[in-house]
Amino acid sequence: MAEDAARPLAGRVALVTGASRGIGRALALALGAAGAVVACAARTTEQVEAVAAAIRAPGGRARAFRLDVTRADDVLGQTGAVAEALGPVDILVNNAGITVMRQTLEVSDAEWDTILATNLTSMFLCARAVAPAMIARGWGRIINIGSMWGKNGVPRYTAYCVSKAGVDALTRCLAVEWARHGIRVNCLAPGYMNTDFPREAMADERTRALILSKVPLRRIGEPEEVAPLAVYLASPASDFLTGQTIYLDGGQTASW
Amino acid sequence: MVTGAEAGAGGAPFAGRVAVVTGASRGMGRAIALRLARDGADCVVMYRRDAARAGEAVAAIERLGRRALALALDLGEPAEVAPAFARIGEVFGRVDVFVANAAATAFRPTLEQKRHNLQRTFAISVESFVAAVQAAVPLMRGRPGRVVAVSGIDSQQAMARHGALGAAKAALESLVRVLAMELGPLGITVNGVSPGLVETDSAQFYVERGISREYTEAVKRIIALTPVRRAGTGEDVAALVAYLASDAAGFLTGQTIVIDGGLTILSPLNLMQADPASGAGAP
Repeated sequence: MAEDAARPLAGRVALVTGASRGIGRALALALGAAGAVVACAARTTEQVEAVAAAIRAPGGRARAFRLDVTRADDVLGQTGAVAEALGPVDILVNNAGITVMRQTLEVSDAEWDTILATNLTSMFLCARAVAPAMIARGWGRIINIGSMWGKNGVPRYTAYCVSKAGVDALTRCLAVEWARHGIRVNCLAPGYMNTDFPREAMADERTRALILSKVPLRRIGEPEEVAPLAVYLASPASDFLTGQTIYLDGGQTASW
Repeated sequence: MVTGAEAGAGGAPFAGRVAVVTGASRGMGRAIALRLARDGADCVVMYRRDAARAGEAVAAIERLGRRALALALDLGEPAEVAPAFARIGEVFGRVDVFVANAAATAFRPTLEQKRHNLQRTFAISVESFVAAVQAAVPLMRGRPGRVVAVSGIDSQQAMARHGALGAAKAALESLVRVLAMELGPLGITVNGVSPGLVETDSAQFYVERGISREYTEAVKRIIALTPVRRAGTGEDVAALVAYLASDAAGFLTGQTIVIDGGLTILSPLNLMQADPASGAGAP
């Protein structure tokens, strides 16, 4: 497939989970702007319809899909629906994720299972669902959204940290197993971003000052800043890069 | 603000900017300089010996419609760095991107390393890197400049005869983190790229002096061990450097990104298999 300079993803079909807001929304918009046909997926379709419409407005192609990434049958059914409507998925962005802040001793079995299912098992399910068609065509890109917390110990976020560390391992394993089929798998791990979750934490001025003092760039990131790296990782230009977790965090993981 | 599409390809996101690349007369450095020039940058080609090839790189950059300047200096003599940047200041008046690509060492068992070999290896990868960043930052003049250092597998993994270079590259990666912390408040990002096998003139030299005398055989073996089943190219690395050097990468700093076709994440157990990427039993 010839690479169009301004639209490096032209002709590719991308599936973005958790695309209704935050980083997922920014990634869906950027992949659409880079030429991909985007399947914007989320648990409920209302917000994600608006994201698909925002991609279509300037002339892009996108469609909203309802998808519960925690249910294997739904993942299989809906990725099939995406393939039928738009063509087989070339680029999978595993973004959907949740978190709960709670003392480990107070985390219920159900909470633990839900976080692991939503943040980690979902990525395995989605990858497993789309990989056969990627293998058949000899090309694919999988971008898993991790977190800098995947390598830190963070009090009260045990399940979240474990899930994100698992995403790193999943990334490495899929990368080495599927490399020969032209599939590249990388993990993009943001630091503090201007999304709903840290916005709440940073409403408190003292917390905000503490967080910013730990970020060398002295600011948090905007979801849109994750997009160019995702476009690069989704493009043919990143063919020699696989199995890596790349931290996009204003320098936070590099400093102490 | 450079958009992702522009930073990835097309457009001229570096128009009006000046990129300085060391070891740019050939191989990976040349590919990086040409990529940045293609994306709009005027380039300084730093080189040590081969004036003819540096001249060819300059001509190739000028054919892309950019300005180029070849500067000969020996990074083994860190005192040569500041005057070189003073000259860049005179000619271009600014630096936006500094790419530290050059390296040299004596490949031998560590017990046989001579003091002057260690000193020279560290002079190039560590002392001259620090001197160059010290000289480049004032020329960034408050703009969000970019520093990209080229590291290597030997910084993280023990490789035969790579004791000196690996230690210097590990120091370089440490400096990437520290400089990211120190220059972050200025909006300057500092990152590294760590390539696996990239087929250039230097690769032949590195392999023959380090891993094996039989270059062709060794490359075949490394490619067989590399999950993506090929060696990298200068262009592979240059595309990553171009992203890191772009405005679009403004929140990414302090990282050294491994670009090796999956080579170093493969479990060592798998390396014993006839078909390494096929997977072996769990440890």
